[in-house]
Amino acid sequence: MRLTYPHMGNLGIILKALFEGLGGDVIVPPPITERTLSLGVQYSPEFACLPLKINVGNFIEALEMGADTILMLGGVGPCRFGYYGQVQREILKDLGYNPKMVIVEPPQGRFKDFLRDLASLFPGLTVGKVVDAVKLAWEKMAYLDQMERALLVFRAHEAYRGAVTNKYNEYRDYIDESKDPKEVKALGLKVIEEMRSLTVPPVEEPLRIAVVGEIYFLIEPFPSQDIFKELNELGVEVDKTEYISDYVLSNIFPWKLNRIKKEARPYLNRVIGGHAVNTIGNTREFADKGYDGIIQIFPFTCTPEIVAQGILSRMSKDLDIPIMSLSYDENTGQVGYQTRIEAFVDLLLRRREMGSAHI
Amino acid sequence: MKAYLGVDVGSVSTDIALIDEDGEVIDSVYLRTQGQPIKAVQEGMKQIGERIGKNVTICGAGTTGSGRQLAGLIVGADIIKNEITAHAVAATHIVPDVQTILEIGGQDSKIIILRKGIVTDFAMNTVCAAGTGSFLDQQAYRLDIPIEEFGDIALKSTTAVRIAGRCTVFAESDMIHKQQLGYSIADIINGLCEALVRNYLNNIGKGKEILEPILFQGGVAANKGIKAAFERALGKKVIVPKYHGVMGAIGSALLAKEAVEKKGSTDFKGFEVSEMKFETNGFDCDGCANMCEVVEFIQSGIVLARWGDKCNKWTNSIYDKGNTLKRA
Repeated sequence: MRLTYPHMGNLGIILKALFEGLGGDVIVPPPITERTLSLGVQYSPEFACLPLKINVGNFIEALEMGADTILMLGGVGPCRFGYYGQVQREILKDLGYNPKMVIVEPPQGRFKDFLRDLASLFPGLTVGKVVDAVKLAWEKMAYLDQMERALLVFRAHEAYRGAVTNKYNEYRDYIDESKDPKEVKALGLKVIEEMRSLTVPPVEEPLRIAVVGEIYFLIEPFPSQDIFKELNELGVEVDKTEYISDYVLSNIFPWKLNRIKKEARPYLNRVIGGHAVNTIGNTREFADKGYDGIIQIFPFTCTPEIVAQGILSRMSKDLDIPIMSLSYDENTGQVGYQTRIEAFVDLLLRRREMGSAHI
Repeated sequence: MKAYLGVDVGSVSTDIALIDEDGEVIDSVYLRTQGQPIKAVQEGMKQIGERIGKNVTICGAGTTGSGRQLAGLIVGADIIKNEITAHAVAATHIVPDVQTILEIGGQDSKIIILRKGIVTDFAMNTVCAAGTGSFLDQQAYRLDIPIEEFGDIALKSTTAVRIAGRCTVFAESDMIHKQQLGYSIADIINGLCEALVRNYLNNIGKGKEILEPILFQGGVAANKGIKAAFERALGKKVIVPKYHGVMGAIGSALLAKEAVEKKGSTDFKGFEVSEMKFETNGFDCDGCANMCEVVEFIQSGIVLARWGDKCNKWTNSIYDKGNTLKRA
């Protein structure tokens, strides 16, 4: 069995550690490139959202490399995502590939069943092997998230363009290669210091923007043309609402979401699918934390986020914080997005200069 | 006389404005970009360069519009700024207490909300170009009416004709349908103006508080039919500034003036740029699996800039000395 899975930010590194630890033979799909996108767009239903298309591209490229088993997340609830695994299986079948497709339903508190599903893929498992694999993957997840959090702040002040990004990429590769949880921790802590050392202190208090929105777009930088880097390179410190550990933990322990649901309640008091409730709840939280502005990102045609977008314009007034929404499709032209992002940053700067109380 | 130059390279038009120290417009050029931004900028620079007197010294230059990076490299810009900021700067210069800017250009349309002279909110059309200048252009061509007369004809309308506005394909089939039913051209064109305004207000103006004074700028502001339709829909007065077509360029010149005052000198290369040889050259980097498309910008055989790479290897290759970066 040669196992593969779709890319989603650093999730690939974590899954690789987990599955190799469980004794699997893992084929990591090549990084997402324009070819991935073209393949995905060519073979996917036109009306589907960008994440499905990029997944399909990842699968085809991994199958070309000899993968024969695909692991895909399923889902319940009103977002189309829950059905993507099935659709993708049919697409690949029509193309003449015949991979074994394992669609894992999110644990939603039933972690044991989830593990049993997974374990069926790896014959000859022992408890010790599972513990070691989970430990390594967990450590990688924890430190990759911390690194990314630091990246989104330090890159805003890098001494020269690319300094912090390149350091981050270098260490991400080391962490990918590492087989020792202790080493992962040491590398993670070291790179944060190294990235810090590549910054120059900002002249003025930097702007802080929080990015909220659809989960795939928050974790995988490709479809948003790396809006995080774009903002950082304008000198803006960025935080995003969901890192991989938030995603994983809230899937294992659904009650983790309760805080966000409570925050969202004055505006949206039920889960309407996708991450709409997270977008609303997180926006409120970040506004309270004193961020200068909020940007919502999501795939074109994403219904939950479109509903959230409507609510955000009201929240922007209530909470007195500028909010901009950007939707992305397969277009790779950057100018239009750059214009909006730059103008938004200009707006925030001028607003700060004038003191928001006067507006 | 000291003067500042602003260049706005848009999808459809390339505009150049020259302002004096008080921000008054000395001269301006409005050209069609026709898919060749380099040529358009050079042609515009040539025209302006020939027209201005010898006593005018250019003390600063700025660029804006979707082709701002390229234009910035050609003229030697002191500041490269997005068109939203540029339009807002120009509008507040002309009407200091402006609270709303409606801007419709060739391929995009935007609304900018200002309060007490600062931008507090803005929106741009997403995804689709319905209701922008290109579509009007196309319809004028189909009806064989010069675009300049489009607005005047709309004003002659006597009967309201309803045209679908949210998609140009729908709009066109509605227009053809109405035309085959025998409606007059004036009524159909007026119906189109109203559809365009309705679409603009529902899509871009959604949820925005549109307060007076309202400025209407961009190429489409020349169209009296659209202006009238805006006034009817809003029930408010809409002002079309004299230089509505080159407001982006004016804003960019004003920004250049500010930038030069801060840094003390200009990078402007002079009007000779209209004679220089500029080329772009693209290649696929094979340094890693990303295979970025890298574009080089070459002035008379010397590579001035590279962009398009994710890792900055090529972008930085130009700026190695001291790692100083030029970016908007």
